[in-house]
Amino acid sequence: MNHAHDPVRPRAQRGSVPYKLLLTVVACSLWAQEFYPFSWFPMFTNLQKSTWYVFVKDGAGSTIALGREFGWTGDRADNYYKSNLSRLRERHPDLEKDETIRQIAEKMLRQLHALPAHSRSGATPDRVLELWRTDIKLRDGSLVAMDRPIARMSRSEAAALEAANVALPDTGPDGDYAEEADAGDGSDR
Amino acid sequence: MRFDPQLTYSTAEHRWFRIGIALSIVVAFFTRPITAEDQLFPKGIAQFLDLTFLANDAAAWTVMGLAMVVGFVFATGRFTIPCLTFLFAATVCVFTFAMSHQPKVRHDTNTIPLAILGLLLGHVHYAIVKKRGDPAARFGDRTADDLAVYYALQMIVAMYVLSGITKLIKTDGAWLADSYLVATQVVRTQHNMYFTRLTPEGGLESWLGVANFMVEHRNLTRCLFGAALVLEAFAWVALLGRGYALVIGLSLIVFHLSVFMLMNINFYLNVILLAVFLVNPPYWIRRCHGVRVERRIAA
Repeated sequence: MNHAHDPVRPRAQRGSVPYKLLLTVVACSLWAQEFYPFSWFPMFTNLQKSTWYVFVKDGAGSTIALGREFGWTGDRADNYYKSNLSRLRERHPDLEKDETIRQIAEKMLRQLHALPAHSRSGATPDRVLELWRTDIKLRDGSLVAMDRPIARMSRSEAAALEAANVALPDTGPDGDYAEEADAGDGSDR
Repeated sequence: MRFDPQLTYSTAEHRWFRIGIALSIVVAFFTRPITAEDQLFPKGIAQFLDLTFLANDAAAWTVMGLAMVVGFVFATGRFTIPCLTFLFAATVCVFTFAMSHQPKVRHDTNTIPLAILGLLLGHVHYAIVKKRGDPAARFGDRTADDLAVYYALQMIVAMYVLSGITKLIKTDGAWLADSYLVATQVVRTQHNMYFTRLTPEGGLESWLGVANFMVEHRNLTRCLFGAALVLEAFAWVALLGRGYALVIGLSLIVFHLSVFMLMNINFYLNVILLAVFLVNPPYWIRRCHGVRVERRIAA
């Protein structure tokens, strides 16, 4: 059908439709605070001068390759710790900060000691795992990294806690901690 | 490049778009399985709907299996509106639940329901106008499929425009000035990767060095991240025509690959949809082939 001389046609030819949907989606998302539609996401807007992460050492002070020893990625370990902290604080906002950290660090070390991959690696009962935290901070125009230990636990201590049925902190069911992105947090959680 | 907001697409291109959507759903379901068991940190529709029934593997795989079958039916070109309605509901529920168990979690899967919603709105809009009268008077030569693809394109670029605007709004315009602070995220990400295998040797120091280079050469870093911000904010240019869509699509793919290399954030679902809808290889292959044939005939 040739619409070249249709008097109604120019509206379409001018492209009256363009961008209405785009503008609507952008406006609605901004209004609903859904910076990534159907979700809330900071889109890297929380840029801070510091950040932190956790890693694991053995009792002798050697850093452990999480993939080889536990089948975890570094991201997973970091997200496990941070997400559990958030979840415990969400459920128990009355807990002291140090107590929250202690409970989650203990949970993480028990979890690591109990992993089948760790057992297969021939870990002895006196095998010690230490959870360390690194803070990256901007100081005098440069980023500096500072490490400090958070908690330590031997395999026998973890086994004793399991045997005594000492309850893990109430953080709800565990998810997959390998998929966090855009954490953007420099907060001292 | 010619300004052409009234694009129409060939049958082969529409087939490509449909297959692209169906495949992206399959890829998302198999590569991003649901591991959540609660929705302690509800996002999107999870703020209003209890989606925890998807924590049950049988329920989740029933929904996902049905969605894959429906996606296949959609790819064949049948029952378009019912298929898109189901696909939108299924994908938005599955992906929203999957990211509502942690405070911060990957969100790239949401690209798919957004594109599907665009397709659905296009078909519904066309059907409504057709019911009321002559759709050609409103949409010109566009078919329902053409309009749907155009709406899907708008949804895809809306994500990028929104991302660019959000960066500026949420930081009161300071994002560009502060963009060098992405260095802290780079070093955190790369150090986390190092702890997986303790490789490469000296990885901690070298990535701290890279991050410090970014901090110490702030203006250079601002230029690089500023270019990415401009690309996001002006992604709507892709709507002006196929050529524009190709350039913006390829640029955004390069942008995602750069982010992956620097921060290990993999947006392959976005890359798939960009390749399907913006880059649109069937058109360019056909066009290059056509030019060669024309030259041969002319010779």
